[in-house]
Amino acid sequence: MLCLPLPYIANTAGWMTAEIGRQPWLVYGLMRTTEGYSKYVHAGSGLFTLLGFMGLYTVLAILFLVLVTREIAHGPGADAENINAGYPITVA
Amino acid sequence: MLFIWFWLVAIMITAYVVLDGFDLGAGILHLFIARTNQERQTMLRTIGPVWDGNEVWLIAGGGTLYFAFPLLYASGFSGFYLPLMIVLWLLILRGIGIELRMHLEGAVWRGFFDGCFALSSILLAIFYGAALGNVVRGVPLNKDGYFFLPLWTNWRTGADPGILDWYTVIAGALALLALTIHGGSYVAVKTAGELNQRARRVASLLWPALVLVTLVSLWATLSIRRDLLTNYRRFPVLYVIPVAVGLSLIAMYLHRRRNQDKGAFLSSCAYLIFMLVGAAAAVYPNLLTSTTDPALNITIYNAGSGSYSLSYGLIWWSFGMLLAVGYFVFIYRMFRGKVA
Repeated sequence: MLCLPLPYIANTAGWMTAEIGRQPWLVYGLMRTTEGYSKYVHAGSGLFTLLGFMGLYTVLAILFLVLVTREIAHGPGADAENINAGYPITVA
Repeated sequence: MLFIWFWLVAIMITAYVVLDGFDLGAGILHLFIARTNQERQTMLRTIGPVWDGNEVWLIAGGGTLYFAFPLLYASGFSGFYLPLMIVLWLLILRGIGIELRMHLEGAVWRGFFDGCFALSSILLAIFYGAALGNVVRGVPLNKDGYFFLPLWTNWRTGADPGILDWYTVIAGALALLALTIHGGSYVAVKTAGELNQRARRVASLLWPALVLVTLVSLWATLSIRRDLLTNYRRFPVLYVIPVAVGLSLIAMYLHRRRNQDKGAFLSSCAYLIFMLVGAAAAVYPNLLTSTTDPALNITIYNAGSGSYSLSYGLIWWSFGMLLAVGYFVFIYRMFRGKVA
């Protein structure tokens, strides 16, 4: 149970190590970050979409936590062997 | 080689519109023709196994664009930054709407995600139409080949337009109508009973509107971009394409009248294909037209990758496509027939 958040932390921390560790290069040895940003997208637009993504991901994280907590509280139940029963959608 | 890649990108975008178009159409109609919880589940099951695969064609098309025409990719993704981000949010919202609905019982929870699914589908259809409208109308490219469009300015076309102006709004309306009919035709193929009846009714009710808006958009396009007929004048054989659009519309009507759901759906596919191919044939070899100076147009010649990359890329593209097409044949065969 306590291991549940660990893959997410490991994944995010690994990504941050790669992205922050590469600075000031965008493409190591070839292109600087200062050469890579778009000159035609204004800071305000960037801030707007950053806030939008933060809002969207916060809502998603809350929904995820609610659903996972419910699932854990519910437990495998009696129909544990018939795990696919009751899922009306088959997702490709 | 540039010619081939222009058409490969065009074909991939067309494949996206035809395939994800009916997912969006089903979403647009979701709240209107599916009334009970059971019907809404059936509606979602018609697209359930395929919608996310269909969506991948957009990513594959974008990737191919990045590979073959990097300047266009850089310019377009900067200039259309705001609408592209909004489209991305809408795609996320649609995915959430489809996936999270099932996880909890309860009318509020399900109603909320049904709403997310329907609203995002409606807005995506309008945005895709407007996006295509922007590409056809042109954008104010500067000397570096870049631009930035606000969401709207004064609603006029001309040198300094916004993402939304009267022309792109017509394009958005056309996309909304065409994809609603496309989705209705698909749902009619995949369902039986009441849902099938309502989907048929929507598709036949909207057909006259589709014919009208198609003609209006043709007139609007030629009134703001006379030069789009250049290719057609040089190669009159291209006039086959608009004729094919007309024939698809007629076929759609005839199949609909005889309640032949498959035929009507295939006619709708043909309509979308010929509309997009017709537009691509008109803009070629321009990828993005400048509203300020034709010399600043982004064309396949000034935006294309090197010829070595392009010919080598063709080999890998073919392998990738073979896999993708194989997968699509497999999945559509597996889920063929009506949803019970």
